[in-house]
Amino acid sequence: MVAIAPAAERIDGAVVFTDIVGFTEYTALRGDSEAVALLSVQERIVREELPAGARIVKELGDGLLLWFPDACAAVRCALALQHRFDVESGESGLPLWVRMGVHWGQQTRRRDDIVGHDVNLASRIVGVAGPGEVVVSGATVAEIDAALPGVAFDELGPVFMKGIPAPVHLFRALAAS
Amino acid sequence: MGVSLRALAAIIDSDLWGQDEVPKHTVSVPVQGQPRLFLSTRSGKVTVVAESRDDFLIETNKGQATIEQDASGRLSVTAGASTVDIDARCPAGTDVIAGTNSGRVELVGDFGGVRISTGSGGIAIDRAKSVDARTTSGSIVVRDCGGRCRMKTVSGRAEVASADRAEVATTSGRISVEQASGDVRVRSTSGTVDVGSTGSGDVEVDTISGAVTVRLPPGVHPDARLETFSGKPRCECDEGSDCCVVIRTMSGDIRLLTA
Repeated sequence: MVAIAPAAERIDGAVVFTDIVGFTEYTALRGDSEAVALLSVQERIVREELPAGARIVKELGDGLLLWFPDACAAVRCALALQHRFDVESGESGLPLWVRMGVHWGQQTRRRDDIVGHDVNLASRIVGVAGPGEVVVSGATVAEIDAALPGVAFDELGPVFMKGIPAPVHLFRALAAS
Repeated sequence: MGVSLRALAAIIDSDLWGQDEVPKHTVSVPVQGQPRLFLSTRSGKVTVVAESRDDFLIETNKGQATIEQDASGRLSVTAGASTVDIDARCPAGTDVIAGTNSGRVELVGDFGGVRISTGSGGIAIDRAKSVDARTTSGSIVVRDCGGRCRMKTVSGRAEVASADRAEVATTSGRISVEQASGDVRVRSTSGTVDVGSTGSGDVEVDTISGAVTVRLPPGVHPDARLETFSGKPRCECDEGSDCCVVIRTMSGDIRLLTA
């Protein structure tokens, strides 16, 4: 008997990767229980800020893979999350130094997971961001097409990333003052 | 609309190479409006010299780079998969955007806004109005930045001799901001941090385990907050309200000094 895989469903959406900078060192210094507490704070804030239609696809150690049906919502949410993390860090002293990468593209749904080149690309973009930053791909900016008032995109230029054959044009998203 | 410089510019194929060297060609392109350069090469070295001139002069490996000028006047030099060095000369004040994987990027002279990213190549910038420099394992060295100087590395060191505002983040790379006249924001996981401030801006430094030293001029009285979980805090300054200095670290030692 031959097992037949269900047809893969292709979807368009914005993939957001988050990563807590310094989490390994924090865990080594403060222990597992405080590290888990830090993750819980991150998760609580993310769940409070996620708009309707968006979801946490999966947890990746100290990071999260988020999916949004809309690029504007993804960038708006990422910036709101950074603001919340900054406030939380200031008040509690917790090192919620989160960096984020956003990429609009096509993904393949595999049960509750999403896979594909555009997911891999988003996972590389987060590595370009510094703590507190939201870095987005040119594809994301093109999809937004100036439809996100109050947000500016600072051009970072062509960035070469491991495993990605061509340089990718990236931008730093920031709340316009 | 992109315009090929093969049709647009005077191409001066320079017969300067020897038998064993890669053939080069040199292109001169007139500047249109604010001079802007966009440079991309996977593994070659990028060198840009800003000087008193009114054109771009580009030298690359012959036949291995595309040179185009768009309608806004921005000149783009993009190289493919092979190792292609890019040498450029441009007017002072030129804005530069450049990216390489493993090639070093070096900017000599006075520039406008500068955005550089590399994987492992080092980045050296002489003088610029603003800087955003990012690398994974390369080092970043900036001599003078008149505005905001943003640097990000993983393991490479990040150094700026003089800047207005500085925003620096590393994982394990050493950070040195020799003199900042505006606000300074530093985050490092384990790299040591050394910041000199004129005291006219606020300083905020966070590390997990890196030691932190902040220097202020004599007579500056900061509103200081030094927090360390297991390190030793030391403050030599008389406190006041001239500026705000916040240093937080889990295990690194903290020194707030009068220099």
